[in-house]
Amino acid sequence: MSDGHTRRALLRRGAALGGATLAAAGAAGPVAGQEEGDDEGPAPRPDFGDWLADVDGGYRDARGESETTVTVGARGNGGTFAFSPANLWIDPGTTVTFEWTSNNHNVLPESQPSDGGFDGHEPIENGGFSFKFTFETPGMYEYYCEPHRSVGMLGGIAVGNDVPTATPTPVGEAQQGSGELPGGVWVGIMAAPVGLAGVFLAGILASEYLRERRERLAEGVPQVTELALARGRKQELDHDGFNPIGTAGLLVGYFLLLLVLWGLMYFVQFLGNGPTVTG
Amino acid sequence: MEIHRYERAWLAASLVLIVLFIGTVAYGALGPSVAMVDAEGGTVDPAALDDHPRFSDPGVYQTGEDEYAAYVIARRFAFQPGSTDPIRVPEGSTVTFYITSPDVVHGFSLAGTNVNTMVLPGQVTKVTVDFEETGEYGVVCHEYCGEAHHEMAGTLVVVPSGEFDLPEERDVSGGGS
Repeated sequence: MSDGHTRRALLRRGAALGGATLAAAGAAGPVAGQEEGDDEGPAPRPDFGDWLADVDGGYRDARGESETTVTVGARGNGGTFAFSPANLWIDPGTTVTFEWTSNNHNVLPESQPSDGGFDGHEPIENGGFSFKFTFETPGMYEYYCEPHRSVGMLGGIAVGNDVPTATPTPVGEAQQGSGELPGGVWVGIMAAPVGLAGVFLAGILASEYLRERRERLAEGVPQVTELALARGRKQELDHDGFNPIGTAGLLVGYFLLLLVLWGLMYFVQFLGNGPTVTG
Repeated sequence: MEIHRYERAWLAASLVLIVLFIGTVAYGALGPSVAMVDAEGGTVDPAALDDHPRFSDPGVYQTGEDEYAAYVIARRFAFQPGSTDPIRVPEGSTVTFYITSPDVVHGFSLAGTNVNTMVLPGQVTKVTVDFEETGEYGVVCHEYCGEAHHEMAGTLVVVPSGEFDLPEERDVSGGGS
């Protein structure tokens, strides 16, 4: 992916630099090789379908070479969890060396031609380890690293020319396409506070109007509260004569709530939760 | 000092409540069917798990009638077994988990249950769990362990006892079941 960026940036900066610069830029990318051999756009590459969608590691066309290398534990997929190249195209009879550059990886086949004979390397190994396999049977080989499969540490090797291929979508178009939907969502998110502010403003205006109206009605009319005071009776109470029934009721309610939550929390959530550690 | 009788009542009630809560916590720690995880599992060389008689081939071993030992390696970012293949145990069994890590601190938690412990490199975490009913539980790592910590998860399946089948070499109960 970064390969594509490098290339595009260079293309923008100046086509005048010429083809020689472009070739050098291609070789300087993290996945050196014959990727996108000419300037006419990406060449078709082996199509592993969903297997290698959203998987880092890049692509390399090593047809015509008798030996090539796959790095196990290269940078990618959010850490050192990539096979590089993840998508490799070779001729039958090519020997592939799997070289560990970080720890705790293995290589296990997911699918391969019926007589592919590729067993990978099941024991988990650390950086510095390597093993070789010569791919004789043409076809599509899919493999993965068991501990990091969920992160996307997947790879594919296509052997021979008779394999399904697809032309990758240029990076720019893909970005535009994926940018559209989030854009709409962002507009919605930004519009929400504006709507909220409108509701508040309407509320403030309405209450202001009601207050003015109340004051206008009150003019010339004796204040209701003063009337009530004038009519009210006073009564002396001793300390225990007053019963704060309302406060007591509120507290009883709180206590009941606490007890209910305690029961739910402890006996339903904690003790009632299936298997528990017994030793 | 005069205290209103209502106030006396709710002060007393809150004291009772506090005693009740403390009692609950004490019961949870000491009462039946709940145990804390301790250092009973012992230690292991985290760099040499391949030489360990059990961790070199982790998984479920039978140790007695309805008693099993499940050896699990938690590594960045998978449970072995658990992530690729589920941990399978039969219903009505008592399973003792021996869990360790070759790299960093991990967690081992059966989602939605009280089976929840830390996994330390070099230390074997030993927890015993009774599985009475069939079911499926998610296993999650709940100690941040790196870039793909959020992907570190697995499955534990409690299968009907009739469907549970263990290879003979994994029956280490001695004298058969």
